[in-house]
Amino acid sequence: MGKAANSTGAGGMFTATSHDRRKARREGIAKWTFFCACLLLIVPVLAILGYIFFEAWPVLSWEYIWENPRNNSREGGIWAPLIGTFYLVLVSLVIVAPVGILAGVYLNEYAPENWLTRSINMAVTSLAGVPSIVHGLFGAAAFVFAAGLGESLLAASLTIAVMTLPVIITATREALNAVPMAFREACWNMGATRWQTIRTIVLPNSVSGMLTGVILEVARAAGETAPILLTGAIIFTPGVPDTAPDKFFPYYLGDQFMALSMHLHAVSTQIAGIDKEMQFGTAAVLILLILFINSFSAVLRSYLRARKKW
Amino acid sequence: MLLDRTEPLIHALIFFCGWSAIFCVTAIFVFIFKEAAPIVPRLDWGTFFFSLDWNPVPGGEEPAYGALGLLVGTFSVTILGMLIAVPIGLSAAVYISEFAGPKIKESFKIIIELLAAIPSIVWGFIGLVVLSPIIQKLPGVYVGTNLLNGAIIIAFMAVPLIVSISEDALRAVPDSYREGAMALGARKWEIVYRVLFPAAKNGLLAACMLGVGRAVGETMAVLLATGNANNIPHALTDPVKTMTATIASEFGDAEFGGDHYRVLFVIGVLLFIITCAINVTSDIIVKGIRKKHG
Amino acid sequence: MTTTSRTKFNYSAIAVILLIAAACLVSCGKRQTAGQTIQNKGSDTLVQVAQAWAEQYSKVKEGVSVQVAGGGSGQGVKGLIDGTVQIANSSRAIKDQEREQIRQKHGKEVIEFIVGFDGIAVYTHKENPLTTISVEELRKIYADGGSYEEWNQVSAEMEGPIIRASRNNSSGTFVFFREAVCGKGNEFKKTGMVTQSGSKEVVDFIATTEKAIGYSGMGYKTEEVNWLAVSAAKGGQGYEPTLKNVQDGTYPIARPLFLYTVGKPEGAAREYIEWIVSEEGQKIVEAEGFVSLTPGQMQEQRASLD
Repeated sequence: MGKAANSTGAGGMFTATSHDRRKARREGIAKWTFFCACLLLIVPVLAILGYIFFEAWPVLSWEYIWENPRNNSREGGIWAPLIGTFYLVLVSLVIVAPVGILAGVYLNEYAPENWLTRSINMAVTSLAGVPSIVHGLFGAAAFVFAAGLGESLLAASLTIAVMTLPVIITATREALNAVPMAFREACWNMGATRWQTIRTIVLPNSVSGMLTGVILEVARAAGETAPILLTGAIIFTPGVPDTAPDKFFPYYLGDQFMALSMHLHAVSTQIAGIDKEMQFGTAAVLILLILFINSFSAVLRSYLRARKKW
Repeated sequence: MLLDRTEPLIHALIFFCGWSAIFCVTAIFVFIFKEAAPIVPRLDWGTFFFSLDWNPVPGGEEPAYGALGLLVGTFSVTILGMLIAVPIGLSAAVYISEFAGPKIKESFKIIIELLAAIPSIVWGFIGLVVLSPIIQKLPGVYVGTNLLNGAIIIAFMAVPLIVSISEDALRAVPDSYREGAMALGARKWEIVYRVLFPAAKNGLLAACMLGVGRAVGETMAVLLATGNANNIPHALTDPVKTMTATIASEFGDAEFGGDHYRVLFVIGVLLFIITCAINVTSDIIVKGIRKKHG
Repeated sequence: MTTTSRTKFNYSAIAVILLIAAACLVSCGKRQTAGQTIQNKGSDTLVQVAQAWAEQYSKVKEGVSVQVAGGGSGQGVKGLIDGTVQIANSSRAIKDQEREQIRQKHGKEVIEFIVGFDGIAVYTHKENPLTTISVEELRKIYADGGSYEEWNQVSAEMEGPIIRASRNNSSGTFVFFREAVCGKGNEFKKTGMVTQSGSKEVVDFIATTEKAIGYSGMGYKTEEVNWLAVSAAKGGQGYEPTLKNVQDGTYPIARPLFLYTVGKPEGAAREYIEWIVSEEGQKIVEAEGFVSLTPGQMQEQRASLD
């Protein structure tokens, strides 16, 4: 590119000097380096995901999803862990969603600007950064032993609920923050109380954002292994019925349960003589599930954002 | 009206929930510290920090709790992981924020968001089943699950976090800075290097710190990918054992209320303190930026 | 106005979530009375057999559900102590301290059942030419102060470092192997041992690591690994960890597998253990690659139920 500039007019005012050319070259190199960094990040991961799906392809079928594991998970499908993950997510959501949303409401609508609020914010940040295994230790100490719940679905769900609390709080707060102050002021001017304003104006206008938070919680809860490893997930439970409708209600709250993430851990490290496809199949379904939940959240978010009128 | 009477109740509920985060953090600290506490005065801290002898169930007399190997394991995986993740993460953030067109920007952001969502057990599986055989093909490498494997996996897990926080930091730099530099004849690269990096350096630092926090606390991925050998690595391809993996793999065997059980909680307390310090510091840095730029 | 309709949507969504939650809680409560549950937990070595027992037993006996969890022998006994587990699986004999804890907490004795045997096989990569190893050589490889670090110290035709694989440093298998190989009171080398949290992981690791040696239950043998015949002394007659060699005691690294209960088991738990030490239950032990009880031993175990 430097050549062309050189040949048109040597010494002209707007021709590139060697300094300019060097700069241009450096610019090009920099841009490509940055671009390559992105590719270095994205390409191997897409390749690995592709490989996982390729290896998993022979077992992926509706039967694989629908059937319970048999013969030490070497045969059959992944229904029991899948429904276990569903219940884990559901119970943790029932616990954490109201608390998290109300906490977000408090922090955005009520909390005064003082040291106390700052320390709550700091607590939210720290909570988000606590390693999952430490959550597991906490769950084991607090829910399994101290509260006497034993290793159970309820103990694991409570642990997951504590772990995902900051996800919901942060998402709720951001959603509420996006509602223009003028909306609230208009409502207050009409004589509505604070809660009435929140209930009728603020919450309905921030449902989308809160929903995003909830969905992110679901994705996080569905993928975690370390906390449930210590609080109630097990490698195998033969108690899951094979026939509908019973197979939809396999665990009660005091039961230990199978979960998809735990199942992946088990098939990749615990069960001897298992086919490679079964391992990759479990990994593939877990990835698909998480990606599906996340894309759903992304699509929902952009749809609702597009619908916004302000 | 019914609503008026329930309002104080609802307010109380909201206030109560508002405090839930503080309540949870305190509870976590209290519970894990309470389980660790009985051994704190008895534990030989010199051994704990400076010995490689980790032998909780001894064949002979006294158990030994030398966690040096685990500490070194955690930090070597973290440092090597960050050496890989930080350049890639920052470069990707710069590209997305400054160079990419809107379409590429959007699609890269979506892909990176999806990367962030992949659960750690899946990363561990990738390390164990996909990456390990590849690393084993390197000359002189005998064990495929090792420090390098763990670091690569950790890097992939930390990069999305680093990218999104650094991108925020770069975006927070006012456009007037860019325009000013451009008016002086600076190219984009020069703007990035001379203007954006200095202006956003706190945010970028915070991004890297959060990456470190993530790496230190990561459990399932390193459990499957690092080989779990208690030693001080001499080569990039030596297997190592981390603090988190030790808790995850030994908690089940540890006798409830026994010394081993309590020492695992001591490691948990350490992890809790380290990650909290990292997260709170980086949060203060980020908040500082928001205030500065309005 | 749009806001009011959205408000309705918001609250009905919450109502639906709560309803679902309530429904699942109710259904849970109902199922609780329908069948009996036995909590069974412990040794990772036994977890495969335990699962197979549980799976088969759910066909034999309707309405009894056995919940199986691994986690290690200690975990199972821990469950007995806090009363969350009815039957603990263990690949090591219960410690006196644990026995005492149970006595204090529950006022009952621990009852022990032997339900099979496990030979701890020494595995190598399938391309490793070694076929026999002596306990003494194993000691030099594993024990603290042992001199073997390179394969050429074991056999002149081999080279490269010895990669030692091991189970978790507190698992029953680890403790047993250490005592069998290093002798009572001795330790393993302090560093450099690649530890795996599962029995299967050890075998998988060896299958993919050419220079590795490791130990794991004989039930975990795959096509991809060799097991070594073990001799008591160097140059002596080596015995492979086969059914016969373990049953007659010629294979040197073998141990019994235990179930523990608090007090004599009653009801469903009793029937379950009775079934385990019957021929049908023992068939599963063999199918999973472990060593079953001889008919005389079965008789003995059944007797300790009464």
